[in-house]
Amino acid sequence: MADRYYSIYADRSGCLAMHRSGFSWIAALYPPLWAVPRRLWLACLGWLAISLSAKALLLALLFHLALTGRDIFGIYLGAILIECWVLGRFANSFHRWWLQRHGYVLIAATPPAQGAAA
Amino acid sequence: MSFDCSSVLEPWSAAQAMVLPLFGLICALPLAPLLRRFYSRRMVALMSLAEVAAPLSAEVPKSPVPVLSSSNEPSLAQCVRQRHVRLVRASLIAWLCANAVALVMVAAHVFYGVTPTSYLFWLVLVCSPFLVNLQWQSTRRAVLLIGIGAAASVLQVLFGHEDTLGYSLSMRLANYLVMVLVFYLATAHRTLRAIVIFAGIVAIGTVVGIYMAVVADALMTCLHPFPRAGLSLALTNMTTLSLAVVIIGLFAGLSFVPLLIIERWLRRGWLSDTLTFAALALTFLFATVMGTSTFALVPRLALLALWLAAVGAAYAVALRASRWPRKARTLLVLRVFSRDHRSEKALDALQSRWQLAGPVVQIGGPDLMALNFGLGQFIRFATFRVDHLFQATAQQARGLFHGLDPNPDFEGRFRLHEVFCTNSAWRVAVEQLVDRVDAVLLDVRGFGNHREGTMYEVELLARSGRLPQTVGLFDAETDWDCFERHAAASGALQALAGRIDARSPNAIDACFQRLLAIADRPDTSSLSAPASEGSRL
Repeated sequence: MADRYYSIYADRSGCLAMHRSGFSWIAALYPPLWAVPRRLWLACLGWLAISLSAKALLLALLFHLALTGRDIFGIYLGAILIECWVLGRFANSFHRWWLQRHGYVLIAATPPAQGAAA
Repeated sequence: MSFDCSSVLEPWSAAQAMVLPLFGLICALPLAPLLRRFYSRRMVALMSLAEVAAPLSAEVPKSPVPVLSSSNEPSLAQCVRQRHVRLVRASLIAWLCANAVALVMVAAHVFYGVTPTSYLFWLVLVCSPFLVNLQWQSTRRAVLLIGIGAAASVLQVLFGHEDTLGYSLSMRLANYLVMVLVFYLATAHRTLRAIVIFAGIVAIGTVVGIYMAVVADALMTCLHPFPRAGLSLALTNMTTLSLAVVIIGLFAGLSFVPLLIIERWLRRGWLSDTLTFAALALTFLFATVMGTSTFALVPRLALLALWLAAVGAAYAVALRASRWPRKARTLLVLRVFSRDHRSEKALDALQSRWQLAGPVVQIGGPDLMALNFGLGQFIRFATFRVDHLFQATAQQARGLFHGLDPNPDFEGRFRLHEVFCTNSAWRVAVEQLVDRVDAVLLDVRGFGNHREGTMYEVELLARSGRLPQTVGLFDAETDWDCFERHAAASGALQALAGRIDARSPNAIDACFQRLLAIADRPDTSSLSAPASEGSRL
């Protein structure tokens, strides 16, 4: 799991955005609660559409395979756990990418010694 | 299995919907101390950040146009008195309006089972938001308020109408006491109320999400009777759970939308922190009272909106009717960061009073973080936007004063600007502030050789010739020799405008009066100076 530390990004108009790196439990468990406070509206809607359609697709696919109910349950549970882990692991990296893409630059970060220790 | 599909989409009963805000606040109570701790720790972590690059542009933020001070204004002390009287009058008129509307509704039989004791209980609760709006706060007063609320609860239980729900006496008493406690924490508790309101709104979104998840599950069961489309029980539960997580998370996330709107209004000065607490508390209280109405949901909501609008209009008209003197002076508070609650309270009392004289500016630190905790501040932090809150680099700190709003909010109260800085920016920020304020309060309680930050501030004040506009607040631990040494090393011989012993019983009053006198001198530089036709007042 990546280190957790804070940094501050600024854009040309002087807006400061706080960023936290590392695994995010909120993104893993309640992605909209992670995305909306960061004003990542499109990301939130995108996740909603992809997540729901992928789950529906997976269920449809599993029913067309000759699997027992227990196997279907196991695969579905595994898929959900993987989704949680991916969201938790990459959500903050996505936020950093989004900030950089929108013209934000890193202006303040945890000093190297603290960052390494964090 | 038979399933009545018509009942699936049945909405909440009107009474349940009206009690939702109170329920949200109760859910938020256990979260509040945890969130406060989280905030304090994260802010301290942010303050330890180091600058890695300058911001992209050297764009200096535009200063809000300050209101101008006309020469024939009364003294600053008289201005403070006039503003206080104006706020008291407006709050009293709004309180009378709230009661008048309540009495009209009682006479029109909007509520059922109203007794003199239940009305007394309401009267006690409704006092709280108005007293909060007057910043009527101290431990003794809080105890008094809770005590009166508890007494009214006991009266309500003993002599109120019979409970139709069949609760025992102790259960009913507990209900009323919880209500009193919730309103105290949501309106009057200085360090928790912002978080209680914040978490309360998120909790309401979550509760609505849970309700929608239940409706969605019932709808699915209705469309595909159980076991759903051949799914096993475990898989059915799993799909239900994952759908519920999506829906609850979505509604909890959407609850940030009203929070972002409140934050914008706070930033623009259309609302003050104090007024927001009072207004939200009134909304929660009126909504709870409307829960006892005999009407359907829509008329109840309409009556609730009318009631709130009437109180708001009465308050706004009363404020407009009284003249607001257009004179203001800025106070800078420099201090030895302390963890002593008594010293925090002294500073808090001073800065709360000064907000009627002009803006207060101070460098944010771990000691006053909890007391200065504002709703707007917390919303900005929770939404990961730290501009208007944080000076991350020295370059930003150079334009600091342009970003601070010198104007009052629409009630006539000035802002408390708590400027948080990283390690790289705080010295520049203090230099910017010292040059542009009318009076300085230097809290040197516990000052000694080990306080490097305060030593730097003393040297800076001496170097910039500001010691004659500075009042020092001291205690037994203050090392005056060290102070004199650092003040003398920085240049011309100057003396503080006053030294007030914080241990004396009237230290706060003396300090306040001295600062008013200093700031009111015609030779003070400055910046503050409100007025203008285009101001919010």
